Amino acid sequence: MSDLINSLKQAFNDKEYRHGYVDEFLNASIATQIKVLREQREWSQKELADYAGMMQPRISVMENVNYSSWSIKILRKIAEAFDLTLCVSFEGFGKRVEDIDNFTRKDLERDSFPEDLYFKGESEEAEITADCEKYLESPTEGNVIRPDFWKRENNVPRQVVSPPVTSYTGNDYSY
Amino acid sequence: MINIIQNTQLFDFKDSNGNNVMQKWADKMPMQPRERGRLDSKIDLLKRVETNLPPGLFHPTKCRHIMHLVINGQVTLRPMLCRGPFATQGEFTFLCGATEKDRKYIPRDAPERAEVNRTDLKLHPEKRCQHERFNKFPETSIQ
Repeated sequence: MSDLINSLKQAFNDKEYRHGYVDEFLNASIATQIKVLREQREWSQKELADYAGMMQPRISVMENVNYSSWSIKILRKIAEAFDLTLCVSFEGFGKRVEDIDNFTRKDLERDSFPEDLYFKGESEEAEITADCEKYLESPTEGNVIRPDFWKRENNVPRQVVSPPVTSYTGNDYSY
Repeated sequence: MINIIQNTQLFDFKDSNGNNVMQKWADKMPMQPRERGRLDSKIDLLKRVETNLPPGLFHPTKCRHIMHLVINGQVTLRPMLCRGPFATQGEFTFLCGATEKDRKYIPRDAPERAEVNRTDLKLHPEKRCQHERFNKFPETSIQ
């Protein structure tokens, strides 16, 4: 357990302290995440403002860690501009301490829908499954689904590695 | 681009009597637990984002080497600090505490006091200690 967590566990026994701490963290983390998401997409403030239907100075203000006048309506606009969904929920302080301890750039980055692995992964999986079924019905050497078999067995991204087509015999892959 | 790291060193200036000036300031105000929480939160953020700081974390003062953190709330806290002064990267030293009212510092000469402390520290490197958190209250009650 980190020193920070140990320290917060002790200090959060005071209600006023924990609310003051978390209020400040929340403001800073939203502002920082907007900036991180914008930089992840390599957008300027002007581009984000255009996508969100706002003026650039407004984005500048919201990326300031001292900004505190958040509204759900504005955050929804920002979320839509990034092609993300806004998540608002009431949480216990234990969850918040974890967020504080994990406050890293990586943890704040989010993929837009087209890059969202949840959906991308699912459609690829469905495609490979269909190919497998097709192959099992007719396991011929000229079958186009062999590269997918090879990649899936070797657990590598489909776009990166080419299969060893020349050495493929049709018997190396079992499901 | 904001880089989030975790190795920034923070220090507090000590006066001639060896007292931590930041803790003395907080106790003298006296700073309420909510303000202490806000202050610790901002300082924890500073500790993580030493390079390419997020916008608004610091505000410059009229003294060249002195900046203040911005902590808003019922009481607007403006702790004065500087980079280093011994290492140019990965090190900050809190030099004195201040608040702000009607766009004026309390004490009025807070940046100048911080500059004096910085000069003193450069001559006497022993006049500082590891930064102490503000989460020590005279009467802690579990609520």
